Amino acid sequence: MLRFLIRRVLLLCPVLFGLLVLTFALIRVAPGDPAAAIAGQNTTPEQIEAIRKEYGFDKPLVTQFAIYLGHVAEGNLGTSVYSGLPVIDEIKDRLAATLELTFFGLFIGVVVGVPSGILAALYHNRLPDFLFRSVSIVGVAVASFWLAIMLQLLFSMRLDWLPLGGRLAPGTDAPTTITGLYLVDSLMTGRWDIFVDALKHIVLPAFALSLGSIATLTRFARAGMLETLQKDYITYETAAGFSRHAIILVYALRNSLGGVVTQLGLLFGALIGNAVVVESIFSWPGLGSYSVDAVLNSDYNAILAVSLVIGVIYALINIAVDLMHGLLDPQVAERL
Amino acid sequence: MTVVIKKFLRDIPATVGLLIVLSMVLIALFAKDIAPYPLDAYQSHMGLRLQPPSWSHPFGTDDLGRDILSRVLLGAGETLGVALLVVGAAMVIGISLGLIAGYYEGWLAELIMRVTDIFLAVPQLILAIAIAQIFGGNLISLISALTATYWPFFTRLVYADTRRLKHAMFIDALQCLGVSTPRILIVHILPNVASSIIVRATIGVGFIIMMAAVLSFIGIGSTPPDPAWGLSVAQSHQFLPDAWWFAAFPGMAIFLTVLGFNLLGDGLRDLIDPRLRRSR
Amino acid sequence: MPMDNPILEVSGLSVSILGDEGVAHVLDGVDLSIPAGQIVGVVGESGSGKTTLVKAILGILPKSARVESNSVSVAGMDLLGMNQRELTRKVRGKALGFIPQDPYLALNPSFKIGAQLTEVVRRYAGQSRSDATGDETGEPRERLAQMLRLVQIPDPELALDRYPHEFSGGQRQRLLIAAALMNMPSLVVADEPTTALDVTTQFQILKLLKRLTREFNLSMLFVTHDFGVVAQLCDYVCVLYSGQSVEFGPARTVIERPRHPYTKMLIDCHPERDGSMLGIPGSVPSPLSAPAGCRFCPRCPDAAPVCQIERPRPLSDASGMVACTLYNGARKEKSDA
Repeated sequence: MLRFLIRRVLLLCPVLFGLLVLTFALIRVAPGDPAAAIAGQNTTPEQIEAIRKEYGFDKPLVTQFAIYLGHVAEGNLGTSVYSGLPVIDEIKDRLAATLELTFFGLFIGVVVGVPSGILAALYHNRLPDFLFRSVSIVGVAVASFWLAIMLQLLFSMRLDWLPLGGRLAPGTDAPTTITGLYLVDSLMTGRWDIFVDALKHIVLPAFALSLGSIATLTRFARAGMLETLQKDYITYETAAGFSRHAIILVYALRNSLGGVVTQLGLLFGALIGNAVVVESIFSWPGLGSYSVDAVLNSDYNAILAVSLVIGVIYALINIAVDLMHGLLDPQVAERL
Repeated sequence: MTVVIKKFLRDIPATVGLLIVLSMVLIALFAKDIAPYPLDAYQSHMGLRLQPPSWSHPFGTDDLGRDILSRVLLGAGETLGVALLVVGAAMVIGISLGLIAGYYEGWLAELIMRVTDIFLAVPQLILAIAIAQIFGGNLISLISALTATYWPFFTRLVYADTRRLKHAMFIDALQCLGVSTPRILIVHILPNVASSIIVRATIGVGFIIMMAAVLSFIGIGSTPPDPAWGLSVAQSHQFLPDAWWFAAFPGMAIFLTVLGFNLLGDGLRDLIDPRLRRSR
Repeated sequence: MPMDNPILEVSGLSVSILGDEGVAHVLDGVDLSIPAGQIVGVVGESGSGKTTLVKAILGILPKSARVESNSVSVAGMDLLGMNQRELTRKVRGKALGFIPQDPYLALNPSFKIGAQLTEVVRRYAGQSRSDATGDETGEPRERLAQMLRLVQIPDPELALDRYPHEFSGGQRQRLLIAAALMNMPSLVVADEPTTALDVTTQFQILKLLKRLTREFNLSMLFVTHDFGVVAQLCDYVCVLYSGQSVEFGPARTVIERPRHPYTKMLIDCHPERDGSMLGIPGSVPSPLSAPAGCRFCPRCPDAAPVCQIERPRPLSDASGMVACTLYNGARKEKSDA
């Protein structure tokens, strides 16, 4: 297991290196003067010249790249063109918020999607199957930003059941920071009131995000279960006297989740992408809304830094997905 | 051929998808003739601001008094045009790289596949935002950005199939006969991969439409007064909850179009290779 | 052949399967009885319906199958009257043990064998049954370990925590045998369990099966296509052709003095030591057709005109049963008429 982790982290390096090259290249190939782009508007020629020296734009490309790598290594992802603050600090503050939203959305997707897919498989070609498959097909076509707005319209504005935006109500303090995830921290510190408030705020945006995941996971859980139920060992288990419950919930289930696990990684990537817009609709203080503001302000440093950070997180999630495959399939585990 | 068509038509969702796609194409081509208020792409009528749906304006009017139905119809052209351009370009780049990587193997293949991995290392939307914004945030940069995020899907697909086919007997025979490599690639290998490519491309159009809508929501690729669907939804946000029609109908358009392409793609996949069936 | 208290009683079993091309009559009026403590082989080519017979007894026929029978009973329990839940709760794994054909496909690849092979035992736990080693209590895992020792799996304690892919084909078949025997079933149903194995392994497995059935006084239904296996293992043999039972009797008797023409040809075409091989010309008729007379008639060297008219009535005597006009007097009747 440890060998696997080390190996995978090492394999991460070329991809990370490539990402760094990509982000480095992007700002260099942008039209116009890169130093001016980084400096932003309303800067004096002296400031632009200072930036040119600091980033080494007057030096050969390789040197520039080395300088860039050095910056990244010491945690300097540049300064926000808009706020003037180090981007890394701004990202740190907002990362937990996005992760909480994304994980909760994925959680909803799993908790609703997987059982739906299994039920659809068990009631193959009957009404429940038809219903779940329809949700599957429709769910991937709905744009999450549109769903977010519609949900906000209905539940917030019209019915006033749920808040309009933000992570907590204005009067409520955030729980003591342990993980940065309000739902988790409030439970761990026993603050039930904060938990409920945080939950009320996260429900709408998380659900808007999760519909695509529900649809996809229903589809893959169903396909996986249908395929597994055809297998010879299921026939053997039935003939040998295994109970139907045990066969479906234990012996078939583990074999049918392979496709689902693979999708988890891909869905995470899609969720983070869609979180960008959903966050801005719900004023959710995460990386997504930060990115939208950065786009509006042409804050290149911020956008590139966010891409890099999300790229790293995405890669880590994919390693976790591989580990999960190992948990499901002992033959994969041996190769890990 | 008629057998194939009949088999496809028996698949109801796929046929629905085909109808939707055809309708969208027609709308895109003839929007100016169909739309009741074709000039509302650019003209505003402040006196008719934010009117609810009515006989004269079935989808209501927006904040500048423009007929939403017309703007939705007019937006179809830009939507489809962008998506087709992106998928087309992604196909050209992705398929070429995939063929080369799959056929030649060795260090070149490794390099190509590593680059593919790098482009896939960042979630598509994030990467598209970054690239589009750096290059100006206009329509061209949008198309380039989306192409840059989508070509890897074709490369992966074609790489796997080409590698598999390369070791098939008939390729060896062709090489012995002295057939030139480009000819082998284009005339012999490509047709065998074509079916998977077509399926991927169809679903890809739906995917790109969705991504383009998200990006135009943020303000990348479309600027007012473009009748782009995502942009319309974005503009509607501040006028909620009253002008619900402003948000609802452009969003429905996105939904229907993406749904149509997805259904069509699934139908094609079921038709071409039942072995690949997933959710039927 | 009269029998007291047979452990398995199949009477008039007919199974038809609805398919795209029509109704296939896979089994047609099969009678079979297995005396307690005996090993009965069921022999037939592919298409004879032997696998369907196994599935019918175990209750795992596909949904498209229609079953008609006077009775199918094991240890006195009527199986046809039971639904799937009852079969699972009362019969499978307890009255009926099952050894499947393909050891590579029958075991669940994602679970340790200690977990999956004790599943049924754990479900029945709490009911007083002595297991194969005479141990009345005892954890299911320990019971399985003892069983593994009996089937000669090395290091049984360690084996419990291994996955199926870590065992060879022969070992996996032994695991399946251990699982089948663990609850001391009244009847063990074995569906060609040695077909997927090489000849040497096959020999060892058959030896093992014979020893275990004798030791614990079990009854077994052993399906095979190979008369050589019958010779090695079985006390009685039933010959199946095209869904019908054409001959039955003590294995030794049937092999040395086969009566039905099909049986004779089947025994003759078993590869000889000198490598010569005979075949049976023609092929098994399609189950979609239902000829009026004897199904073997078109391929039979001893066919007579009366054979085409009606299905030969089975004749039961001291040596067993045979369904052929050569023996049941139909020819004499015809010539008398």
